[in-house]
This record gives sequence, C-alpha cells and structure tokens, in this order.
Amino acid sequence: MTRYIGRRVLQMLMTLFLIMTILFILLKVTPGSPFTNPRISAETRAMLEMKYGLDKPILVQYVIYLGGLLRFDFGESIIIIKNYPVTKMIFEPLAITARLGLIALLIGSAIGIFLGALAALNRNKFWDHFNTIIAVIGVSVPSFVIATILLLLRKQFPIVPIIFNKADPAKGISLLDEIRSMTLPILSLSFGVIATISRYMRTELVEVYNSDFILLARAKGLNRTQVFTKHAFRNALIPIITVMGPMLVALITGSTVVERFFGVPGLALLTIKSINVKDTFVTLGAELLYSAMFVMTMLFVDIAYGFIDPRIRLVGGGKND
Amino acid sequence: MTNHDKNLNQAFDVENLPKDLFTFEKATDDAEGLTTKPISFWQDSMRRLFKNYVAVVSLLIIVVLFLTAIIAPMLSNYTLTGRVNQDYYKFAQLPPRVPVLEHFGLFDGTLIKEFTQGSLDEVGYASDEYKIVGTFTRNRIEYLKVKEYTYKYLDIEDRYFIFGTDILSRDIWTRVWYGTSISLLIGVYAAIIDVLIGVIYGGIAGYFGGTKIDDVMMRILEVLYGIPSIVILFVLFMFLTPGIVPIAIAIALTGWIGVARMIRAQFLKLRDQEFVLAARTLGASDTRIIMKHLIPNVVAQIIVMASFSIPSAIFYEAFLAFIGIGLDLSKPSLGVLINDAISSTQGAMTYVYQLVLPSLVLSTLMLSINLLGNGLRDALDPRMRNN
Repeated sequence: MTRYIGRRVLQMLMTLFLIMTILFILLKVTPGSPFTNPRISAETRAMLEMKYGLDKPILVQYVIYLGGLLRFDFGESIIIIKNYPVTKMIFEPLAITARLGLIALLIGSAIGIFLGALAALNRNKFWDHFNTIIAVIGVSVPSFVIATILLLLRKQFPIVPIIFNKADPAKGISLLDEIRSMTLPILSLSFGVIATISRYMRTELVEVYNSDFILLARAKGLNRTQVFTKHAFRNALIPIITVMGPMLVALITGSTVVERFFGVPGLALLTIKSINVKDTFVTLGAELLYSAMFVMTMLFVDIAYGFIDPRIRLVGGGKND
Repeated sequence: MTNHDKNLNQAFDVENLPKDLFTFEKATDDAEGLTTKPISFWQDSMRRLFKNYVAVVSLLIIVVLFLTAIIAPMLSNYTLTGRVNQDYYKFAQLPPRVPVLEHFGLFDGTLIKEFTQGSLDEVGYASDEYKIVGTFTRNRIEYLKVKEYTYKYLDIEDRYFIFGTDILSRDIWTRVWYGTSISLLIGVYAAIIDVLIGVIYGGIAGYFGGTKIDDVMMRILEVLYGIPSIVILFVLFMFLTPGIVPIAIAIALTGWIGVARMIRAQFLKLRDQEFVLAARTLGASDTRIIMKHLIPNVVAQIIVMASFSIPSAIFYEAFLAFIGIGLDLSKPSLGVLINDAISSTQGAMTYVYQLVLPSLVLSTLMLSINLLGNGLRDALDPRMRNN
C-alpha cells in the first residue's frame, strides 16, 4: 500500500509540474502584457517590464518562477494590488469560496441523502418520481437560472440580503450579517449537490437492499427499522462519502456563476479579474491552486478506494480504465 | 504432427498463402437455419426506445423546438437586431401577447407595475387601461399593485408580440428562436468534435492497450484530465475570438477526455474477445478489425455519449456567456439572451418575462435532450442502466 501511495503521489507531482509548465507557456505566449495600456508610453512600459523581469526570455522567467515555487513563492501581483504576494492574495478568496462550498456540500448532502433514501424505500411511488424530477432538473437547468429563480423568490420574501457581505466589524457588518447573506449563494450551490447525491443514494440503497446480507438480517428477525439503520444505510453511505470529496472540489471550482451573481469576492472572480487585466502570476497561482485541489482529490479518492476495495491496489490505480 | 497435417503442408505453403484464395463472406439468415425473420440490433433498440414514452415525448419536443428554431425566425416580420418600430420608446419592454390565449388571461399583454397613489395619478391611465390588483407596504409607504393593459394604454391593440419586446424594442420571439438554433448548433458541433477526437484517441490507445503507445497516451490524458475544465476555459478565453466554431472547439476540448477513456476501456475489453481473434486469424488487418469489428460494437455507447455531450455543451456555452466569455451580440445564443435579460431587467419582477422565456426554452431543450439520452442509453445498452 505504501508503495502504491508513493507512486501515485509521485505521479501527481509530475502531473502538477506538467500542468504548471503548460499554463506558464500558454500565459506567456498570449498577446499583450499587463502594461498594454494606451496611457502608458512605450518607454515606461519597457521600464516596467524590466522591473518585473518580463523582458527576459520565457525560459529564464520560467526558471525564476520555478525557483520561487520551490520556496512556496507564487510571485507577486503586478496590477490588482501592486507588489502583493500572490499566496496571500489568493488565500482570502479561497477561504470564502471553500466555506461556501463546504456548507453547500453539507446541507446539500444531508437533504440529498434523505431524499435518496426516501426514494429507495418508496420505489415507483411519489417520492421516487419526485427524486427523479429533482435529478433531471439538476442536470438540465443551468445554475444561473436557478440563481435567478432564487433571486425572484427573494424579491417576494425579502428576508435575506442578495449581495454577499463580508463580516467586518469596522464597517458594522457582523458575522450574523455574513451568514444571512450567504443563504442565497449556498442555496443555489447546494441544488446541484442535492440532485447528484439523492440519485447516488437511491441507486446505492436499492443495490444494498438487493444483496444477501440484507436478506440474512431480515431472516434473523430484525425489523425494517433495524435493517435500515444498522445495515442498509451504513453500507449505502460508503460510496456517497467517496463522491463527496470530488464534489467539494467541483463546488469550489464551479462557483463562478454564483460568485458573479451574488457578488461573492471568491477565487473565481479573482481569476477572471486577473485574466482581464493580465495579472499573470495571479492567474497562474489561482489556476495552479484549482489544478492542485483537483488532482489531490482524485488521489485521495483513489487511495480511499484502495482501502475499501483491495483489488484496485494490485492492478495499480483504478483510474486507467 | 499427424500425417494429415503433413500432407496439407505439402499441398499449401501455409505461411505464404496467396491472398486471392480468400474472400470475405457475408453471414446469411438461411445459413443459421432460422424460421422467423431475425431482428437486427438497431430494430430491437428502436423498439425498446419507442416503448419508453418519456423518451418519445422528449424526442417530439426536440423535433418541435428544432423546427420552430428554424422556421420561426424565417416567418417573423422582425429581424434579430432591428427595432420593431421607428418609435422605439413606445415599443420597448412590451409584454408578451398571443392572439387566442389572451382571452384566457395568459399572454394577454399586461404588466404588473408598482405605484404609490400619487405616481399612479401622474401616469394618467384611462379607466379601462389599468386595474388595481393589490396593495402592500414597504418601508412604511403604501404601494399599489397595478395591472397595466399595456397594449391598450399605448394604443397598439392591433399588434401582437408573442414573447414581447426587450429594452431596445427588439422582438424577443425572433431572438429566442434564433438563439435556440445557435445554441443547438454549438451543441452539435461540440458533440461531433468531442466524439471524433475521443474515438480516435481512445481507439488507438485501447487497441494498442498495454504497449508503450498506450502508456504514453494515457499519461498525457491523465495530465489533461488533471486540469479542471474551468482552467482550460479560462486559458482558452484569452486566445478565443468569439464565434460559434471557436466556442464549440473550446467546449469540446474539455469534453473529449471522457469519450476517449470510455472508448479505450471498451476497446481493451473487446480486443481480447474471440471474434477479434477469429478475424485476426483470418488475416484481417488492424484497420479492418478496428473499422469493421471494434467500432460497430461501440457505436451504441458513442451515440449515448454524444447525446449527453450536446446538452452539456449547450450548458457550458450558456455558462460562458454568463461569465462574459461567450459569443458576441451579433450571434446571440440562448445563454447570451439570458445574460442580457438579467442585466437589462435588473431582476425587476415587472419585466421578468424577458428572462423567463429564454430560460424556459433553454431548460426545456436541455431537459428533453437529457431525457432522450437516458432513453437511448436504456435502449441501446440496457446494462448501463442506473449508472
């Protein structure tokens, strides 16, 4: 197992390195520099580019960046906040995005598991069809349409604020205000989670109920409640837990719409902004972070599967087929 | 070696048999000794598909939407970007009005507006041009909810705008259906590119599975798979010139990996089966085995994958439009229209039809393609059910 994990970690680092290289080259060959601005004269631009080392050949810049990465230095922002280290700059938006994602995941999973279980226990009845409808809507209705519907609903019932408020005692915004303003973004994020998790839960639970150990449990004389809580539910939950990791990453990387809609100052908005003003190192840092989260989650999932299903270890990674 | 074999070997040089001794023979029905006419795989699948009424209804809806998207802009008196009338202040933000339905209170050309008593008097409605439908209090000010008979109020009762007009007095009906055709086009393009790249890449990797080629190809795929699609889209949007094909390519670039992995897995499985061994023993070339034996066996999965590719591409395009990367305004897709409506109506309930109608068309389209995809999957490959 240790060898397997070691190999996978090495592979992951290789992958990240390659992604970093590709992204670096792509960002460097895009036309325009941060100082492409009619108000900046050619001489000033040349000077600025020299100051930030942007006039050096791409290879040299790459080596410098790589050297920085080894010291966990992601470079500095040039435009958005002058000379501010990217690591610090990314941290706060990431914390906001991650917090939203995590809460949405927890709420969404709880509702999804409940609905899925309800559907599996009432197959081909109302709750089952309801579940199917939710799942189909979940994949068919774009997130910004759901966000819009929520927005319109809230126009009728103005209970919570629309725009995200960062808790800031200096401006008189309490933590409670922040939590209240998080309601709409979280609701729109959690809808997709509910749709996916309830579908998974139903499938898993139906499969578990068809297996022999449930029959045995029933034959032993356990009643339905005991069978459900002690045997079926727990076993159906295992696969759900393994999809929750990737889902959190999907929520964090996929929160662009919600962030734009409700004005949440998160990672996606920062990335879009940095691309627009060509603040290369911020873009690079944010995208590397996205990739690292994604790759690491896949690694964790694979390892988790390895513990659950030892056959995968022998073949060396379930990802290849 | 028995005597018999020795004789055979003397009669033919087994190693170098001339090619013209062999011809490909078609299997015939009577060779199998069947008494009834056999049903082909496709007939069987289609029969299963048409038994699934959800899929059939979805198919019908898709056909209707598709035809409307083509025909409606052609029959329309208005153009995509032109104003419906010279007097565009008067003709801006008209509510939807449909000839027959208006008598049933649907699409009857009315708007619900909010007034205070004073501002209502200022507008100066004639008595048959408005109706007070409710009151409410906000910030301690009393408001009236007023149903305005907009067409009557503006003296244009002879005109019908089925989906109404937008803030620049353009006909939404024309724009929505034009947008539908663009969204569909992007979806289909992206699905074709997806499948094409995916099948070629996955096919090669799978057919040579276990060799160096496969190993290298899979490593590359793993790296690409490790890049979140949002990053790919962000990077592409620095290079992209807005247009249908570039957007479709950008979307396909994030989508082909799934197809390639699926095809590779299928090829790996099929490659070692007896019928491929038989074909190879009979001297079929690699190309022939791939084209005649392997591809036909994965066509079902390819169709299913493509049918899920289309809605996800439409979805992605709408998403891109929403975050402002999408098409330019001369070729508005449904996503662009929705984004437009969100910013121009500012979420005002009065003009919400501008937002709801394109969203409704988009959601219906995605819903029916997804449901048809589900039906196709169940019909073509019953083993994949519930996955």
